[in-house]
Amino acid sequence: MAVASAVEFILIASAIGIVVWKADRIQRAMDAQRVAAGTQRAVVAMEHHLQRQASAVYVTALGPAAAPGGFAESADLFKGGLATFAAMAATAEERTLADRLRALHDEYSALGRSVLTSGVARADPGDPSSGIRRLIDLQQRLETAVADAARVVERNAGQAQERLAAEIAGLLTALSVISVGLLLSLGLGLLAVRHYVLRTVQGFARAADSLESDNVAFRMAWTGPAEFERLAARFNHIQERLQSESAAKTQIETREAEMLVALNSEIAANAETLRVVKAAAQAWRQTFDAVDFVLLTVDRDGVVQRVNRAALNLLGGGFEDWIGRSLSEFPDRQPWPAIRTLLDEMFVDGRPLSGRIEEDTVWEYACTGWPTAGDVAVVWARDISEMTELQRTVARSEAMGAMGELLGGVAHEVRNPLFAITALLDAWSLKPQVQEGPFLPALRREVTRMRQLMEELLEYGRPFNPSLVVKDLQPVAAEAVRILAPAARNLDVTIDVKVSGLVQMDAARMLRVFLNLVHNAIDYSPQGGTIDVVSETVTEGSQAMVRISIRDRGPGFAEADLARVFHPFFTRRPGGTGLGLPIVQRIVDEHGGKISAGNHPDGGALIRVDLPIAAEAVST
Amino acid sequence: MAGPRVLIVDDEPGIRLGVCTYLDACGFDVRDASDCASAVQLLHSHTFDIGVLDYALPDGTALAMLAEIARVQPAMKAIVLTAYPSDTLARDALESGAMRFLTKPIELATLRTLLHELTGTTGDGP
Repeated sequence: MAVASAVEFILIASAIGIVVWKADRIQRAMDAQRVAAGTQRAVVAMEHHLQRQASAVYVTALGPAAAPGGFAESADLFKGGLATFAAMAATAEERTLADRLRALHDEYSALGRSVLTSGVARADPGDPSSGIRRLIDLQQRLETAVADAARVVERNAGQAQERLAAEIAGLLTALSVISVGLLLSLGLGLLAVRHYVLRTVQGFARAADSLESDNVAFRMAWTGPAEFERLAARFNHIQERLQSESAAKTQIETREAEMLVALNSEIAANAETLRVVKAAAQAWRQTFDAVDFVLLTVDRDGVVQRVNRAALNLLGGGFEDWIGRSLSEFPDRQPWPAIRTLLDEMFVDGRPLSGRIEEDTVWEYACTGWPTAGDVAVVWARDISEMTELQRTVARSEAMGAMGELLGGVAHEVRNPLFAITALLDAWSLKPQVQEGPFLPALRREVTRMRQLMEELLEYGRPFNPSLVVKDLQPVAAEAVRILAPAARNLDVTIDVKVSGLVQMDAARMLRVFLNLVHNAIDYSPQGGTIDVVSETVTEGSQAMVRISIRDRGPGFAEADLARVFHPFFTRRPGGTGLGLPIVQRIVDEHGGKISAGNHPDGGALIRVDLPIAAEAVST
Repeated sequence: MAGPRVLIVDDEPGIRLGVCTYLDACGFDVRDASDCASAVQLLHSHTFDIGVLDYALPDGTALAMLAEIARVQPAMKAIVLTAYPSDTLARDALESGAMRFLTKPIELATLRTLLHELTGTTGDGP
């Protein structure tokens, strides 16, 4: 009996040893499998969220329905999956993959956020150098990396599963061997011990069956020696884990399947929406660009989301140079500073605003949008210089017409008494008793002034001659210089004339322009000075102009006088009528031109007259 | 020998006084009229070498007088003066036989020279 008992004891002890050892190995195999399953889930999550990011990218690339929020959210979820994957990475290969994925995705999500927020993608999806192109490239590389990860984790999971199966099989084999030994010793052993052992064996056999049949709900019920109890408890613990993991796995698989279905239908719906949206976007961009005034949209942070072709023409460069930039980085020339101020005001005030600035160019501009109407402010600006100038010209010519009539009437009526006075003065001076004193010459001087004033008033008020003829400026300028040559000679002033250009003109009136301007220049020239009368061709908008510049070497205009030099009766010259430059301005106006007065950087007054080049001259 | 015989026609008494006094002092034989009717009377009663006619007169224009001059004294020359110059007026006057068409006011010294020139005489000066 002692021998039998000893044999039984040895068998039982070794059975316990084997089972404990095996259970430990099984648990480790299960841990490995759990890890493998975890990484697998992480990879699946990454795949899913990458698809969602890609979806956001494509939606944004093709239409104005930007979804940067969806992108950012998916990017964060992807990052979560990646963190799980990295934390669970058990092999060097997985760790390398995790690093690669992280690097790629950091770049991808950063670029994606900036591109989708800025709207560059929508500006030019076809451009291979654009952000969207790079984004799609990165995405494809990410997809490859995720697919690699999926392959690796699948392989690892398979291996873990196989190892677990092998361990379980080993345990079963060991248990069978022990069972046979125990059966052999039945006759020898203690009944009670035998009873325990049999139950043990039966229990483990059932447990083994449950493992083999994936019956994770099976629990070992055991009371008996502490070792066996501990063993049973461990088995049960493993089973519980298996059970909960399998439930979780099922749940995840179901969810993934649902998500995949949802994603597919979303993509299908998107494809249709995209087609519609793309067509609408194209129509919208064409409309946006067809508008001939500056149009742009700006978000709440002052970042420009869109600019139209007219704005681009004003700014120069390409769309990508301005979209996504802050309005504060736009040029400091108008209308941009005015628009910035207006947007700031609107942000405070909350109501659509408009404004008008008059500098070199007259701008009319307005903005509408946030905070009342969404996240985007629409801003437009229009160059109304030409219109304003036209309105002024019309107003001026109307006023001039009425004034001209009055002036003409007065001047003519003055001619008769003026003639009577000069005739009487001439007659009186011939009387033998009249002494040539200071009075007669003074009277004559004053009468001459009056006469000159009258002639200039007449010239100033002369009605517009609508029948202009295309002629060259050259002979007109030459004639003026010829007439003024004696006056120039007196002061030893040289006049350098290089003027040409075909212009629609009233030659007599145009002669007056040159006469007045060159005459002024002579009057203000120093002894021995030079006057340059030159022309060049300039382009004003689409209109080619002849620019005539008349420059003297005199003191130039006083800065304070510049604003008034074209006002009638403003003069700094003793005895001057103050009508010389207003007459010139009037005539230039009638010829559709522009005149400006200033000083040459190297000194001397500089008058510029721009006259439109005749259409005949342009076409030939 | 008496100077050239000049007819001055102008409705402005000041002009007539100044011009007549001046030309008289310069040796011209001057008569004057203030309207067309009295000028025509003078044309019928006196012979003139040249007329200085204001264009716009109370009872007509210088054109009517130019026609009368051509009819009554074909050898008489004429200058037309006006306070309302225009290309049309100038053309009409020159076509009707005027030698010159001038805008008021003019220097009397200039007028004197012109009168001598047109009548082929020389003045001694005042």
